[in-house]
Amino acid sequence: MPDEDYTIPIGQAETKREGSDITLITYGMMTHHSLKAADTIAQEQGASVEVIDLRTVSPWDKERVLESVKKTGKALIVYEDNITGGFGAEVAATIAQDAFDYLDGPVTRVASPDVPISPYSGILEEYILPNPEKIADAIRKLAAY
Amino acid sequence: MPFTLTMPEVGETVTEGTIERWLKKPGDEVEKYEPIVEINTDKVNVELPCPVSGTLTEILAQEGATILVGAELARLETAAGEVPAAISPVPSEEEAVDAARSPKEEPVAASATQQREAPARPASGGDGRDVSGGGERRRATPRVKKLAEEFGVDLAQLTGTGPNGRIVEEDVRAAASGTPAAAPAPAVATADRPAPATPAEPGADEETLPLTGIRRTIAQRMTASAFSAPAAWLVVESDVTGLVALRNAQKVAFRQRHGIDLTYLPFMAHAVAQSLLEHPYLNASWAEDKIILRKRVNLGIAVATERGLLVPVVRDADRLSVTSRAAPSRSTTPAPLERLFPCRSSTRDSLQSSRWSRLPNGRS
Repeated sequence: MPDEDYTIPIGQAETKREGSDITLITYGMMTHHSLKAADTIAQEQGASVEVIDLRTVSPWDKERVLESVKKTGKALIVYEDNITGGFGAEVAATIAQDAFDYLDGPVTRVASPDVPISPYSGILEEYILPNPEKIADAIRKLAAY
Repeated sequence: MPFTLTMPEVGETVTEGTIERWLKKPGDEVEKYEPIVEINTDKVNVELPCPVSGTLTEILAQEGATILVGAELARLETAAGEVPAAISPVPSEEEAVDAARSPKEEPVAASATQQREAPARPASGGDGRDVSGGGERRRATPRVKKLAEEFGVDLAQLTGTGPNGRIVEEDVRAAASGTPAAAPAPAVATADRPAPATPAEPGADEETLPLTGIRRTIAQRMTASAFSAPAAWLVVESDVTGLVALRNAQKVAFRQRHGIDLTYLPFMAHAVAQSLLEHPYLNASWAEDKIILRKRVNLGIAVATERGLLVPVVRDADRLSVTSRAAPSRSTTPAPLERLFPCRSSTRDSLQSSRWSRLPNGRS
């Protein structure tokens, strides 16, 4: 987070990393985990992952996401929330509806399981929340599809 | 308790398989999940794990037999109360993402399908799940379907090379660019038509012919050669008036001297052999990481026989005269082959090691 005052444009996503094989859509803390995961995969000579930070979720930057998915054909959505009913589910539904013809793999989500989130225990937190390893695993699977 | 093992669905578009090898013989004990038979389909070779523990009592499908999906393979005797394993869940979309699966895992899922369908088949009842394989749907993602539409490629003509036999983008691009990765070589289409390379839906307007060994080999070799010796076409018109005159002048004398007709074929063979010496890159083969230039000209000549297409090889064709090319060793030539093309006998040896094939009718 910058030290000085700053503003973020509403409804404008930022492409944090350019890629050609998979579009990874995320926001918040998961952006950092996702970038790490994308770097890991790149080091493995694996898929080239485009990471999009939504920055704001209402409104959210559908155009940029759809444009990227049309390019890559594969979408991975990473969010910290419970997987059911989380915001990523909305992103997934939009991609499935508006970019269907371009999909070359199942729209996939990495999120927390449907249990109360973030217990105050390092071990449990690590178990529950998405982390770079879990995200990298999902990237590998989706890339192989 | 008797149990009948049936041919599982190995892949979405696979309608039959050939029994490659039985891993158990009658009387053998079989553990649940233990591989019992190797099945060869046009997509994959798989080991079928046995869904029950028991004793193999009878093999119903012999090695080499081609078996339709759902047909009976073997009978087993199991302990009372043995429930055939629902070996793994029906492949779902989520599982399909696990694309790095090894081919060996496939029959596991397939036999789960079989478990579900085998009892349902006679009664045509069933629980209605997993009908994905029933409709012969060509599996391809929306993106690939769209691409195929753009390129005007018919997905039904393609054999998928992706995970689970899915048609992937590269398959469509390869088909569109005219260098089919999986499509049969054009020579097959002109030489003769073996059973379709892609398993077709059995329908009223189609007929499925059983494959004989030679048909299978023709299909395999032709497909393989399309890869190892990329086909190229070049049409050059030549004036062969002189050749025609020469043949007409010589044919009676030749017949008297050698007892066979002088045809144009040995002249063509001679021309090809000499050209290959001049252009060694045409007498080359592709070996994954290298190109092998051949110093000797072993000329394969495709001959249509009653048994199918044979390609006897004239070894060292460049060192033979037209006469010897017409009949290099007639004495060993079997009668039917000699009638069609006097050449070496079609022993295994003379059918091997040809780099360069041509069809006598000049179509390829």
